[in-house]
Amino acid sequence: MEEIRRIREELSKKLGEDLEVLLPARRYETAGEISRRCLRRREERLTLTDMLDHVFLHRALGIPIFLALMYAVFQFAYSVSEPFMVMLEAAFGWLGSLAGEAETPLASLWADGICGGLGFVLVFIFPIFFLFFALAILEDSGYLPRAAFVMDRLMYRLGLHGRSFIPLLLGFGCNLPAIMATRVIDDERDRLITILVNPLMSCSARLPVYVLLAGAFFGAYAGAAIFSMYVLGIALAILMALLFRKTIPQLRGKPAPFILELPPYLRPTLRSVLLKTWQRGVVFLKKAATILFAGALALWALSSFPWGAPLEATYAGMLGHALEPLLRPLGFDWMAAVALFFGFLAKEIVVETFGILYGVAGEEEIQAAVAAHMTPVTAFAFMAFTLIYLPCLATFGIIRAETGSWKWTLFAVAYELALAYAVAATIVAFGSIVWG
Amino acid sequence: MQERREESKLELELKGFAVGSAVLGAAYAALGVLEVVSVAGGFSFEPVPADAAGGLCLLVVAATFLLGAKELLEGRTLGISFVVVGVALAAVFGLLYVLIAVAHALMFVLGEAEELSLLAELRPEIWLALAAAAMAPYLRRALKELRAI
Repeated sequence: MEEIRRIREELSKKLGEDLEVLLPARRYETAGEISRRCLRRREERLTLTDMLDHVFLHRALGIPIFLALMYAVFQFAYSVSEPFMVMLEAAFGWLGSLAGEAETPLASLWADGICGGLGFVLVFIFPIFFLFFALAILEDSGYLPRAAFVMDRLMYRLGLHGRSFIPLLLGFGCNLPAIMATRVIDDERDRLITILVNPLMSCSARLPVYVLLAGAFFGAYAGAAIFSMYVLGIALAILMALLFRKTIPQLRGKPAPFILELPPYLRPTLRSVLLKTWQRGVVFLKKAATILFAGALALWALSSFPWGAPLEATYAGMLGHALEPLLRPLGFDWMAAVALFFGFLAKEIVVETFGILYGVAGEEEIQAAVAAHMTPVTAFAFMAFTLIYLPCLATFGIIRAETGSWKWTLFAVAYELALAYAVAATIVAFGSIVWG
Repeated sequence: MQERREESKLELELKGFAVGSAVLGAAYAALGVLEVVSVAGGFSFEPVPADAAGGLCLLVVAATFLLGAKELLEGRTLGISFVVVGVALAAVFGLLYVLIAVAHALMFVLGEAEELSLLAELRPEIWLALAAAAMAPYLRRALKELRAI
């Protein structure tokens, strides 16, 4: 094996190109030559796929078009879903009011814990479904593999493997299957880097946090603020991959070459798009029925007992005050600290926590309560912190399973915490200088 | 003779697309710059919003149309691809802002928005998309002539 590797390296050096790229390229070239000699074509026909590829894979325009389309996707998910969220929220508000004043533990559990907490998270089902709907259209049209192709040029230069793009893109939905999808990457170093940076891709669980805070602080620019989190995630993933590649001895080296066969463009069918949307969106519903429900119960109990005590004197208050000194330099108060602490279970719990701790129902009321505790700069820093700080519990488990190493799992947690702190501190410092 | 006449007809059509594409590209570029500059300058006037990210997207559409115009004027048939993608991108953004306008109207009906300005909702992306859509039937015919579809 050693001898074969040596010969391969020698050949690659001699030919000036990696053998993994050269061999398939020559194979295609020879196949093309044979077909040219054996087949007689009446005329060269330009297909629609050729024409679209001429633009979507364009050296200069490919990436800007991809970013513009992604911006449209997030605007669609955020802005168009808003009225549906309002309607569902009103329904939960009405359900919560059925128990009357929350004077007894049972009434409080129903109104504040279930309708105020879990119900408040559930309204975010709409932006999540809308996001998956738009991504399914792009996927079924055959555009997404092109996006992987155009991003490969940039990613290869920055130390990531082109095949990493699909797992990274899947991370926009959920980091768990995205990390499992890294199995398609043959090179162990490339795979490990992709796993380590995957939690930086903003999964749909973080979307409710962005929607809440962006809606409260950025008004007409809420869509752009949300989009900026996704761009920040991609930028940080690329930067960290480059850094790991350059500094960690086990990860040093060039990424393996990427060969991708592009399928023809197709007109997406409504049935397929809806099916994909449902299959991906239902994960959120299942989560709501299990971990988010349990989280709502636990948070309600922590913020309600000792019964009758003021919020700051409850168990949640005690926990928040214990954590607050760590996060105070970033401008986060004890409630934000509790939200981030429980966000480790599932990122949606961050929003659920705000719903329960502020003790108000409805997006507008919670947004007003959040606005009283944060400034636009700290809100933006909080969004960035939520994006970066920790993978959720399930992702933590899958990183351990896929890397087979506690060392790399703990490394992922440690670097993300440090990075989140550094990025949030930079946002706060920069924001304080610019806006005072 | 017949073939030659058809060829020159197609050439003429492609020149027409080049002009249309250049005009649309210039319009998209002007509005994109206005949307971005409005943010930097802290001003906005209806129906052109101060929207940096939206403006940058308009500039991407503009670049697509302008590259198409350039290639077509240089006699490269493949330049029509940029016009096809430009029209598609224009349709995506036009439809997006129509849907957003409908969402805003719903919010107004639900009592969540204090006012609804039709002028503000009719963003330039919508009427530019309509202008781009006017090219679609001609594009379809040209693609058929090129046997791309």
